[in-house]
Amino acid sequence: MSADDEFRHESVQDRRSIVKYLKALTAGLEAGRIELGTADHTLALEPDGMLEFEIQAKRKGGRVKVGLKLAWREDEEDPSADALEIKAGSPT
Amino acid sequence: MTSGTEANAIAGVRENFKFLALEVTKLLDDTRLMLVDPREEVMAKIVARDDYVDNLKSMIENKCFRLLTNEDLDDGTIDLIRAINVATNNLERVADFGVNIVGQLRYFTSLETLHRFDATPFFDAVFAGLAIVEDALFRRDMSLALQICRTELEIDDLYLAVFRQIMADLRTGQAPEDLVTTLFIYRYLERTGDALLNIGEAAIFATVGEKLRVSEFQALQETLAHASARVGDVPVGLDLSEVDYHGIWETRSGSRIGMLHARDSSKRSVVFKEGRTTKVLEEKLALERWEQLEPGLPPRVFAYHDHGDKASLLLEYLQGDTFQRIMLDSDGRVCTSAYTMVIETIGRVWDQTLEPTACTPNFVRQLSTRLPDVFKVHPEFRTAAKRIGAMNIPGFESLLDAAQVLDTLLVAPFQVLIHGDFNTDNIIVNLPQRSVHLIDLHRSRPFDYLQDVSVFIVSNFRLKIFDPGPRRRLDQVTREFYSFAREFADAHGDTSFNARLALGLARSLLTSTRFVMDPSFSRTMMLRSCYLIEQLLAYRAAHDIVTESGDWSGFVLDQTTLVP
Repeated sequence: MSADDEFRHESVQDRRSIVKYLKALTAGLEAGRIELGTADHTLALEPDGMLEFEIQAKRKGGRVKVGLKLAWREDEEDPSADALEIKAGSPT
Repeated sequence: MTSGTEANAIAGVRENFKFLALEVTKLLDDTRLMLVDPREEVMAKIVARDDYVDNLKSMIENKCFRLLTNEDLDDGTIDLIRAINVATNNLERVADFGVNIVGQLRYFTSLETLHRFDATPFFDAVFAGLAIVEDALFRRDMSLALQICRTELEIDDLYLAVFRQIMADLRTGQAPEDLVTTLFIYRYLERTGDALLNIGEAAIFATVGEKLRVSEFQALQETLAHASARVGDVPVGLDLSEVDYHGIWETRSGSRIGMLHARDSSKRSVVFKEGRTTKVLEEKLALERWEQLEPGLPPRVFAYHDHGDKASLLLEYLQGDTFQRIMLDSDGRVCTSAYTMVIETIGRVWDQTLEPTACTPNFVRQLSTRLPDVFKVHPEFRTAAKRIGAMNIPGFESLLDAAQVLDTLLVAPFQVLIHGDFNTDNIIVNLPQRSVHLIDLHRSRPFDYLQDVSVFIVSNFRLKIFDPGPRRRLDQVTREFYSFAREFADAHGDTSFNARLALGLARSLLTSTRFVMDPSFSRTMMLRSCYLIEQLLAYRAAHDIVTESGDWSGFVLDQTTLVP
């Protein structure tokens, strides 16, 4: 994956304003397509199949961190290129 | 190294320096001879002397740097060593100028043009300066140092006369090549004067321990003279010979601040400020205004001296600690006591100066003027607009553009006399005398009090202090100060308090990042600022506020946004 295929956004939100962000993401999940990007470049993600989903939370020294992680594999661009070829034959 | 061996080492450097000054003088004397009568053997001597000058310079440099590795050196000796280095470099430069001058001789078609001008007064002035460099420096003799500095003025005057004559002669069109070469030679002599000025300034530095330019030194001298002459009832009466000068800092506005401590402890210390006349005058007027409002609140003005585009002020040096120091270093009880004194004072000032005139603080406009400076330090703040699914997030600059409208919508219903730079280190608290003083009042004016409130809060926020004790005190003071201001707002019907404060905080957080190099902390401040602006814009949209009479009373400023 090239560096172009990255997206990062940081902000400070409160409990209410953060919901807009989460809703935008869940809407994308429901539709099967999450688009993230800037005017120059859009990263279109199509989560499908088995999705690894990790929720991590920790509290340390007065700081709390909750992490949501979603990971999946997607097919290579040309699925037929490297496919196995299996031929049936009669045993000798 | 003991102080005895240190003294020996300095004596060794002095010996080399004496020879250096002497050799440079001889080299220039040879240069003078060459201009009158260029001869091969004199030229050879100049080349040899130049080599010797270079060697002496290296020897002095080596000894100085070796001396500086001694950690026990006192400040005075370190200052002297620095000054010796500067003087040495400049002496070597003078020797180079001599070599450059004779180098020009080969370009003359005839020496007739050169000989129409008399270089003697130039050389006399340079020799007079060179003769006293060693004493000025090693005996730390201020009057000799100033005498060396004045050499430059003398040489400049001489150069100007020669320059004008050469220009006039050039216009007649005779021997222009030789005239230009002559000009080059005199130009080197003029630069010799500049080098002498550097040496004189280095000698002043060795004497007063602070790098003052001669013009500033004279301003200081004159201002002190004015003070003793004009303020009869105040025992200032300082003379430069009896004070220690400590430059504190070169301020961002380009002015200089120094402290003068009298060696005689019965006399008081004073603060000396020098800067552009408009700025200094502004400060003087503000100080007078505050003095009238509450005598003793600002420092007293002992003297003001205007010398063209620069002016200087001599101010009372206030005893006490900055409120910031107290918050960081004192225990909770002392801090509470100081805080109470501060808000009592500020409350009085607000009450006494409140005028029912509406005031538009224009926080976004203030922010925009500082933005180029912010980007210089934090180019990473320029971010593009982003999209998350159907949600559009404006880039940083677009957000600020969108925020401009807030300036017209957020108006304070009254104004008070504000400090204008209400950082907690501009508040001096004298605990034993139970008095509060304000310093750095040059931006003081009748304005929205939330300008001061937001600067105060952000000055606590932006301190990179994360030790639980001091951080808790800072945050407590912030919350208390917020409540104090909030009460004042309620008492005076200021319904847009929270919204205006949010914008004031956004401004101050963002503009302060130009002093915060830490990438993560500056980012925290920037994101906090963006959050506040987003909240204001969202409230405005939800409540459809389009004029300054819009109702902001429902805007909630979460108190957690006030502290890091």
